[in-house]
Amino acid sequence: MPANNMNVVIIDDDHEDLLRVQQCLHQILGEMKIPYKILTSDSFSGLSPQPHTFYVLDIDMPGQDGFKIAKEINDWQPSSAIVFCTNHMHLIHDAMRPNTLYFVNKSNLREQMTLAVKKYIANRGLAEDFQFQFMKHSFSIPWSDIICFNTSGNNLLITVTNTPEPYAVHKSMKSIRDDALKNHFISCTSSYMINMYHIKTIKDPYVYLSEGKKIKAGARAIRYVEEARLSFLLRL
Amino acid sequence: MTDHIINLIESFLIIIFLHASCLERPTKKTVILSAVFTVLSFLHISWVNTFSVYEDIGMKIVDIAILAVYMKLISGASWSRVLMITTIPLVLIASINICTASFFSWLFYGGLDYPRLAGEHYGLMIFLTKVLFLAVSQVTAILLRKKTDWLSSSDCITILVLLILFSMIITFFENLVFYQDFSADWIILVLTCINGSAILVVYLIHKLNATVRSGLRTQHNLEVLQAQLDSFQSFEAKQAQLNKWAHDMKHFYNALLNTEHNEIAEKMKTMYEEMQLPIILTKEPYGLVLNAKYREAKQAGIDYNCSIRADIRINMDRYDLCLLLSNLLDNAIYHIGSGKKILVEIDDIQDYSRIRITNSIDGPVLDENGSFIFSGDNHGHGYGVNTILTLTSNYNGRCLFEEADGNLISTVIIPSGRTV
Repeated sequence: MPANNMNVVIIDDDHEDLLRVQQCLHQILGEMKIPYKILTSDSFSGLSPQPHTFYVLDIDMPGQDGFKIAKEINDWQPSSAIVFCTNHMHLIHDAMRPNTLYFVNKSNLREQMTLAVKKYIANRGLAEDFQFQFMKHSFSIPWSDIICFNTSGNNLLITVTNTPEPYAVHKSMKSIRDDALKNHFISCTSSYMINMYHIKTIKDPYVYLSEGKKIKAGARAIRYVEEARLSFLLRL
Repeated sequence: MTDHIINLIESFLIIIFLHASCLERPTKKTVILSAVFTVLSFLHISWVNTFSVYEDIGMKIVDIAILAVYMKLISGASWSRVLMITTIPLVLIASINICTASFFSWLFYGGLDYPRLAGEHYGLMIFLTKVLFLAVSQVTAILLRKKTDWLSSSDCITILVLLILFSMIITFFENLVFYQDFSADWIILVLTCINGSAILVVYLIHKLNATVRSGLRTQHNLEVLQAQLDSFQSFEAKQAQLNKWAHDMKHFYNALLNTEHNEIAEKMKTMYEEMQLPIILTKEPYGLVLNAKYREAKQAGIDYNCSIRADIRINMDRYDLCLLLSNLLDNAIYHIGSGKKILVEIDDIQDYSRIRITNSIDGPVLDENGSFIFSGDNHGHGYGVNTILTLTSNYNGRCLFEEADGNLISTVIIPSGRTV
């Protein structure tokens, strides 16, 4: 099974910079052996925000505001990542409003873009999708989109972002356990495995997850999850 | 009956002392717990006195255990600190009793005659000792609450051992004063305790002296940092105007490119690209530190880059945050490897704010446990690292030092205090 493609969109009004950033990403992603698709543009007009996309935006484009574009992308596709790329450090102060993944200085493009890509992969994951059958249809969902797994009777419930109801499939927790652990999941209770990336906060006795989901756990389990999460956050 | 009332009063006074030593004001929960544990402690003492099941050391251990549970419940302090504080009232009560009895015995009878004193002035003695204990314990409690929060776990254990030794010495004097009972084995034990106490006192003084010196150094660091911040603020105001001009300049030369003024536009473009402008983060206190260290790093020929989510409000006191960042950056600047690169990243992740400093290094600086290898060359690391660890711990944060790809990566996460 092929790993997920990394979708990249680069927007920069300066043609030279656009090519430089594109070339740099070709090299980085090629060396990291990550399959990718790159789309370049000198403006955002005509493009529509795409999910699970790595956007590289120039901030300082005459006639266009990189922050407004970022905000628009964030509003429509929160699963996308925004990387600002500019010539000068003094623009950092404005990189505050959108949910920025990284700030890359063009004078140190290669090194900082590598870090941005590494951070994107660490945060979002490019591992193979989790595949299952549901209502006689095949589903393939990125691990990073799965909030948690839990057992209910003989079913395994899969809670996924932007999906109102969990998918109920005939699988055991044991069958997915090893793969889940590799993808930053942790056992929270005997019947729950949660994605550490989707933990929002932990307030004894609850673990709060994305999209308002919360799981009650015992005091020992809470301490275990909190320790694992802190270790995960420090290394992320 | 009188003895039971006295026991109840004593239990109550001890509970008041323990409460005051960790909390300024009572809450509903602590009032209820105080009442429950006063009764528990009283029942235990009365039971022991009535049935003589186990006295002396056994009774003291159980009593300390009851009080320690109470204190742990109301304060949540570490067990070492809890045990240290719960031992104090036993030493205070015994020493006050022995001093008062000896003093009044000498005053009334010109020598030690405890049985007579107890027979003739029992009520007065009880009243005086309880009032004295109340006064002394409350002063001690205030001092404990306000002046000893920096004591480390090992300091608390050392003091606890010292208090136990004092308690044994006082027990010897109690036997001597009240019952004129002393034997060779007691004398040997007490002299050993006195010697042990002397050694521990010297050790404690040495340790506290080192802590005070470290504190003074931190204070000095803060003063230096404040001076740096003050001088940088005026500089930064001027630079802010310069930044605005630089920003306008880009729009200006873009408008001139590919016109008859193309040559001027190209020159302006080159100028723009060669400018080294500071990082502006005026809304956040750490912006000043980042800029001050940016200048220091540039002067030392270090490639200093930042990737910062500038809207991150790090939930720390301004000075603590500046001190933390300044120590992280000082370590990176002063112990930089020949790669001469520093990367500063500040962002948030879940309900934590994260600061990460990556600096090039020439060789291993961490041992297999992730602790710094201190040598003569990098001894300065020690103070900085201790400050970073202490500050991080004070804010319930975590700190991690890692080596990867010829870099030292120092990461600190601090609870952001916001709901995500």
